[in-house]
Amino acid sequence: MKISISYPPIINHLGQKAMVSQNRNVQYFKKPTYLLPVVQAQAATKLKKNGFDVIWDDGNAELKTFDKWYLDLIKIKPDLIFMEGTTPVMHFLWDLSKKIKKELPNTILVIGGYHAMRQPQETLLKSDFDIVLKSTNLDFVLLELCNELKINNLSLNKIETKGITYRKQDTLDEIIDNGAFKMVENLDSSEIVDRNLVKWKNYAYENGNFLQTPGTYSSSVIRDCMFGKCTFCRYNGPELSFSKMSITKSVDEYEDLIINHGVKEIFDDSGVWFRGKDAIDFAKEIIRRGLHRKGCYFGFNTRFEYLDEETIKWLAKANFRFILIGLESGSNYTLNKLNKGYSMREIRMNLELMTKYGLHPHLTIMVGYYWETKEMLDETVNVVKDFMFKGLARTLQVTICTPVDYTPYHIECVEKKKLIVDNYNDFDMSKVIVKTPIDHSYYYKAIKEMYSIAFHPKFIIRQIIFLFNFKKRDWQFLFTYSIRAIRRVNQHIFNLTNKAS
Amino acid sequence: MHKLIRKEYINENLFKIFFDKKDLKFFPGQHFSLSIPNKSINREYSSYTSSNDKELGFLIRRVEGGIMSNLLDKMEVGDELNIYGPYGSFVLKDEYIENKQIIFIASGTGIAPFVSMKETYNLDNYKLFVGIRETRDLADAEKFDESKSYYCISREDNISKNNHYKGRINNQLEKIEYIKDYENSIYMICGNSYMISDVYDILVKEKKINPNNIITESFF
Repeated sequence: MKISISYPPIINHLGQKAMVSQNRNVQYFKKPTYLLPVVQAQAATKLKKNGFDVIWDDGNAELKTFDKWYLDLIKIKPDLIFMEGTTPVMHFLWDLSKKIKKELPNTILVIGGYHAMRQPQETLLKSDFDIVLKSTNLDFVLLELCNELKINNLSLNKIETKGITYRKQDTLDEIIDNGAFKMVENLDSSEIVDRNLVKWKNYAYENGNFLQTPGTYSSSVIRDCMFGKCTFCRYNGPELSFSKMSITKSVDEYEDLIINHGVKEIFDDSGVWFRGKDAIDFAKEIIRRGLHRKGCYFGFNTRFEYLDEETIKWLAKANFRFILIGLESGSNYTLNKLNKGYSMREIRMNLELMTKYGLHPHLTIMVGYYWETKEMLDETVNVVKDFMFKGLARTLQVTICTPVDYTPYHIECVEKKKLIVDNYNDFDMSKVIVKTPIDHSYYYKAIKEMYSIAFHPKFIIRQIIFLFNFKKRDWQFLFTYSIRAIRRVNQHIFNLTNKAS
Repeated sequence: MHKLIRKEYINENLFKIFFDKKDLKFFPGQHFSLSIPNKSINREYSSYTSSNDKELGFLIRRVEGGIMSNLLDKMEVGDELNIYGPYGSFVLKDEYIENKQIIFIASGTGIAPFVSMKETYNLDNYKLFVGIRETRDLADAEKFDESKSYYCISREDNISKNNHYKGRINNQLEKIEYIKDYENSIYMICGNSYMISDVYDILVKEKKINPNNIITESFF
């Protein structure tokens, strides 16, 4: 049975490519960074290990045009194609499913992703997808599904696999929901990504978060998020839970990546990485194996106050560098509305600790909440400037908070009639799509102002001061990374104005 | 800030900690984020007391090397911390209380939200399964009807009470038909992820329970 895990190149009228960005939403970029979809890569690996013929088909990372990608896929004639999408690309994927079905009527089309999993009926009614996969444990569900389809000669008449909604083959209008898949999986039985299968080098260089290349994403140690309550975030919902991989299994992979693949930076893209004792034990294991002396940096996503001083000390010792952390706002009112579970006071203290031990915090900031006043927006801009000028954060990205995929924030916006668009294509983070108390131009101006911090003399002087710590990473940061930063800032500004600065 | 009012130790590693609730309101089963001032650390804990109580309580296991549990262990009466929340949807819907048999399945301190639910709603239509290592880890057995509760003890050989069983929860769920009305039940599972994963497999694959009737909360 031939299975293709496919990512079509989706290009908008400005020639920008759809890529996964902040909050895992789709955002269009002119010069994209290619992120390895880790769980999907684990799914591909699991299927291959279980005897399936797997094609890893990422048209974006392979730099294909849409036409080239499409023709290649049709030529391969997979028995099953898996795709995934979020709100802004749903129309595209629905249309694409109809196009593929015409050429390959016997191929089973499966779709995953947060939008379809929360509204499976909608997708099945509006497209030619046969099955919606409703779980974030898609590696486990896909294997069960493929095993069952194989036994039943690809029949869609009766499927037992949990965690899917499907259209019955013999009665096309009948949609069957098989209920929820297991929310908590034992991640020690998930697969470590087969690097050759997913052509890992396609993702190893064009990623702005890597200070050194080749870099790569490790197999995630955490599925979903242990907090999982932030209202805007995809990792929020009763259908999502949390499970984690053992430290030994994960460090084994790090060792393989460093020794056998020559990787220079490893990022774990779990919603939130280990904390407390697990994080310390992980760092100790890295040190015990001598991996901290191999010139490879490590990084991960976390929440404020998940790393205390003791933990940060161990992480620094183990050569961790890049800490990606959500600073959704500089306003305590907004942090509270978003269920963040901490205030600005704790945020500042936590950043001070990370900086003290030489970690490089990367802030992910959002603006454009439907309640966000000028004062709240100014608080965010001022606090971000303060953090960046004082060296409490090294890099940042700012996006427009876009309600998507039936997150609590999305539902709240719908219920309070705050949405001003109804076309899914408009949910691509390129503009504010909610009614706000101030003109939208204020948010765009704020984004531009925050991105411009990278060129401010106070920020540059701070980076020069860091050089006197005589740490390699600080020198690399100033002389290598800053070139990439300019490109990145230009790109973000282009996205808002359609003009490079 | 919320003031620590009292602590009760079940054993040296297991204790209940009670704070001034102030005006916090919550549904039993929801959790809070506790943040210790100037330590740059927060952690989530499920509510343990009834939502009608004046105090807000948590059931804590002190973990060797665990940062937050040891800080909470060291806190004294009068000390203060920040409490954010409540969060989460691991709660009993009215329809469950009225129409369903509720099956609580917990490992260790995973019993905390079930104590809160039992105390708040004065439930009668439930069964409780709890996995613990030793009898000394038993918390709040007196709050549940003996005929409706089953304790699975993994590290003791001498089992003396009628509703105590040797082994892990999944062994008991596999062997004995405690639950007569499987189909008309709602299953709430709380505790470590391995237990949840194992129990889920038994319920869905062996007992053919509809997965939509299973609600989980993973502790970490």
